Amino acid sequence: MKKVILVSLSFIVVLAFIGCSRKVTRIDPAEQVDISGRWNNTDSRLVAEDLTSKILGSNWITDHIAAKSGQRPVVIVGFVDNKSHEHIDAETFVKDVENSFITSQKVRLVQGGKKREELRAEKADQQTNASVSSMKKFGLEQGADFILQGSVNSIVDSHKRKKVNYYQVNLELTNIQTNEVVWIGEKKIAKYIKN
Amino acid sequence: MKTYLLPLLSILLISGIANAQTELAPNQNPNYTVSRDKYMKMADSLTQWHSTTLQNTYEAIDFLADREKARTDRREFRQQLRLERARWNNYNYQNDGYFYPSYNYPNNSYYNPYGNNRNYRWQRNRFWWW
Repeated sequence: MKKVILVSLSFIVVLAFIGCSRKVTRIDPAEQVDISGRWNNTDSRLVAEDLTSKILGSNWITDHIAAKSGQRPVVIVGFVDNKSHEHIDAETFVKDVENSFITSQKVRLVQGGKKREELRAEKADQQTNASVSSMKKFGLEQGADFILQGSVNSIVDSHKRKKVNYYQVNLELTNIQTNEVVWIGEKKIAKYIKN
Repeated sequence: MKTYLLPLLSILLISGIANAQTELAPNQNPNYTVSRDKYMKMADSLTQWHSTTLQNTYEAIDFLADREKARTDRREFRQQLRLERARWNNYNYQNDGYFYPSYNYPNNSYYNPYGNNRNYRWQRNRFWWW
């Protein structure tokens, strides 16, 4: 009798542990999984896909190549201003756009921001530590022709348990010499959430 | 002759360099140096956050989020209240000299079986061995 009780008790304990354990499974990043209704990876992916195809298919590249006798445009990435109601990091989709520049070989990309600072610091370090033949010189960086800037805006309409989240992502490309905006891309996402 | 030629050449060279520096591109604004000098000083601070996202978020009106926030605030307030009560367990505000000024009187001015400790009722329950 004691054995039966012991076995059944241990069985219950094991079951309880299994029931409480967390389950994690890998999913395809392209799979659409909406849990809270907030900004998620699917939104970021949709924005990246849409804006990448738009920016590479636009006339600004061919116009620049024609004006500069076959030279590809050089782009630097500037700020993306998140003015929405959620914390959104634009790097998730801006990196996809940058990646498309390099893989398509239609646009050249130069580094900016903190990474550029780091590069200059490395160059400065080489001035005293590297051999003369391998030392990189200051003043030979590639200047950008265009700057890519953007903004994320949102509108929230909610009443009791119903909510509509609207996001608008804008990216724009401006000629640094003339301040002329040569391309604007936008992606709008609206979500209806019922709690 | 040589003594005159050398300074003359150097003057010509310097003026040539100066002219080259101030030479304007076609249609360029002659006052461009004002803006250039202004932004040369700020360039580092303005460009150091390139390739990043500036977070200027706002708080949206959301019934459920507001309710959840109110609930959280209430829980935090109650927790703080509990902590404060535990902290001031032995403290009786009636005996702080403001509520009843007569408590400020010396101990022997009236009959007081508990000494000056008027908050005996508010003391925590002690165990039998304490």
